[in-house]
Amino acid sequence: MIIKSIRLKEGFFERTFVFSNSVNLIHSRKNSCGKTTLLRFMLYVLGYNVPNTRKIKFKNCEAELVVECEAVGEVTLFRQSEIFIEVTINNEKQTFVLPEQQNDLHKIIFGTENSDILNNLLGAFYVDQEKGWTLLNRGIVIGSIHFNIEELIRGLSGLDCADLIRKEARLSKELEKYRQMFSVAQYRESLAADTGDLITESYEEATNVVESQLLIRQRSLKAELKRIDHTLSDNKRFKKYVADMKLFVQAPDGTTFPVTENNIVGLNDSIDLLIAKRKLVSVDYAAVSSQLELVQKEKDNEFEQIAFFKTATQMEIFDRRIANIPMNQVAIKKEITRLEKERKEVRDEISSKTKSNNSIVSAISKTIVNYLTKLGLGDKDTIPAGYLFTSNLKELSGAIMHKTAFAFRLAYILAIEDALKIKLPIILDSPSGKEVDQANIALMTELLKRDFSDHQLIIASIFTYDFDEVNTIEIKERLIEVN
Amino acid sequence: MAKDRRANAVVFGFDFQVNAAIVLMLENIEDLKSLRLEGNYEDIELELANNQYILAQAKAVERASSDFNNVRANLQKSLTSLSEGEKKVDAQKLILITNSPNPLREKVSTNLFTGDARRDFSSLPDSSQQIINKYLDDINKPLDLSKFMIQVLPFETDNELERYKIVRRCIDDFIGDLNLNIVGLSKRLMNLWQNEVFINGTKKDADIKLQKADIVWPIMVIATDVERCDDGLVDLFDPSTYDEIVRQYKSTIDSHCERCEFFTKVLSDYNSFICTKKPSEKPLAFAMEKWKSYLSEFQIDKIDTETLQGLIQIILYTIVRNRITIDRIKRGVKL
Repeated sequence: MIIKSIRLKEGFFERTFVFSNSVNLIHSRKNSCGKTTLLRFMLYVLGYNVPNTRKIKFKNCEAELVVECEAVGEVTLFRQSEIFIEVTINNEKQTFVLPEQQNDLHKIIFGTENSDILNNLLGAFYVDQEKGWTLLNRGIVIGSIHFNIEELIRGLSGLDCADLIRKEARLSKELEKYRQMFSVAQYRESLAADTGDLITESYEEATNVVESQLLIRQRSLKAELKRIDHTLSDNKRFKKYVADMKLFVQAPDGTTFPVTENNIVGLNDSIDLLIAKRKLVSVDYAAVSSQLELVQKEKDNEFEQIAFFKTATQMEIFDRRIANIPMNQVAIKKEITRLEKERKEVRDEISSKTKSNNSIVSAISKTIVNYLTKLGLGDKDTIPAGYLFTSNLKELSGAIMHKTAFAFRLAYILAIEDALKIKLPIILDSPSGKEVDQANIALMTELLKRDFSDHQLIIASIFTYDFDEVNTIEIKERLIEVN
Repeated sequence: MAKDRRANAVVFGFDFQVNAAIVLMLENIEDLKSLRLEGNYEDIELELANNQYILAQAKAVERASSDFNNVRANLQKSLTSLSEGEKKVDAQKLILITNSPNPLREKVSTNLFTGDARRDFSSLPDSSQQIINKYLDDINKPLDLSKFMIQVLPFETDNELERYKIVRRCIDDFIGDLNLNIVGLSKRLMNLWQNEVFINGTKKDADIKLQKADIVWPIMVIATDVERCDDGLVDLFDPSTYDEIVRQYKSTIDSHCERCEFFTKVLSDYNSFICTKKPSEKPLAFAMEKWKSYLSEFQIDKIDTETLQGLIQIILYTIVRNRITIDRIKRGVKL
């Protein structure tokens, strides 16, 4: 991918920066002119959620970036809002909502839909002036964007650990909850210790019990009412049916008389009985309902009232609520330990799956050893095999850390190039960091010249660098001023 | 405070009126047609089956056994009011019902009115009659003294057991007459009637009356409640088995007992069922012998044979028992 140009507009001011395919140096003589801002603008228009710099607010600006992609050719990205980007490819305009559709956009630009790769691309090709030079394999690229080597490797090697990752996420979430519970439980215990007893087991718990008892009773009475109504209407229907039949019966003494609703034994009685029963149940139902309403109202009022009358502070109300939550600190702690163990197992499994028998791992490791050797940081005998996954950054001092980070990035870019057949640009913010001397800068420059001459290189710096052909973009006082 | 006391006195007075109405109602239940509180003619009006009325003035004193300051005034007001009432309707009895044990405020008659007393005018000593006559002299068209009666219903203190003891006794007597042997029935009926009569008394429309059926049917509902294991069933069921079946299948039992199509069939079978035992043992014998013929009517999931048998027996027995109980109560109160 090549970044061809970017046009920025803030209010009445507008400026377009054109980049060459090879080395670009964004240069200013002094600091705080807008070099970093320009780099971050590029990322912003590419759809990344990067933070502003102090002087310019992205959301107040229009930015249009033109890039040349291996997959789809020239792409124009236009962003003037934090929440969406307009993308034009072959005169066809599409809108992507951010951050939801960020990966959909990057799928087009970078030519892969593997989210493990997409999520970790920025960490490979962009080195931030603050965090970037201390980021090796895991950590923050910029803002809230992370880089994780295991994830990238899984993406590049097509390893599917989705189930395990989901499991890990679930466990982490559960753990988080249990930890919260644990701290609440601890707090609850401390309340007990302070007051000698848990405050008011009584009132709220008691009202809850009363409430649920009333609810049960109310439900059963309602069901009973329904049943009575049903039977009642059946009996009334039966009564009408009998009356409509107009039957006559003959008694043993020979007299005949009609069968009516009034001379069927028990019929009217059953209806009267049901009506009386209905009345009694309704009275009960009304009584229970009003009791229930009262209890619920009391419960609702309780906290508002005590807050209102200042007989209890928010803290006291909180304590009462907490005291009423039944919690067992020991059981929670046990559960946390179990979850932590389980999560560690899942993580180990993911990690071992990622690291073992993986050609991508060996390729990246090999490149790293190669570049570290070139940068004078050891050789294949002194650099351990699993160095790619190292988490021991403490022993790396300033310049060593700087160069190591650089070597790692270059290795990632090559690995991505191998897998996706795309040439990522290399964007370096202030590569001449504090403790890196000219000799080291020369080593780094050599490396870029030798192995990355066909990659676009964008450097923001107050220094100049020894490249054959450099497109220098000079920033004088402000970033956006008329060309 | 004064206002509170007056308000309390009003509530107390109305409570007395409600309970006096219940007592009068029970005493006249056989002939009763309807009951009304605060009606057009009197505090308490009982309309009888022969269209005559029993009118009663209820007069309550909060500290009845010690405070006799207002009893004479009460008597005078009652006589005036009852005389007015008698002009409007055909009255069978005119009653002053009070909780004061000394309603005439005279020593001579004090003994006559201890406990729950009922005294016709003719049964009063001369001095008492003179007191009454003296008040009647001031009334244009006074009441017919042969219909007049003073009735004392002891009703005092805030302790409910004490206050309602005579009312409960009246209810107990009434239940006894109906031959109903149900634990706690009198208390339930008292609460029920107090509510019914109270609500009736607070209705503005004087035409709203409590019919006899409104008063009597609740007794039958309580008396036929299947949750109470009838004495007759004790031989057949262990109480816990009975309770368990009822707990699980109450609505099935109720529905079958109340549904015409089903209970008419059972009652018909019961009529043609020949039993050599005593009549009182016939319902149980019927349930025990005939349950199998109803098996096809019961399609219940997940029920074992033994429970199903118990369930059908309970239903058959309950239908017959309810029939007998309802008949007995209706006969007892002439409904």
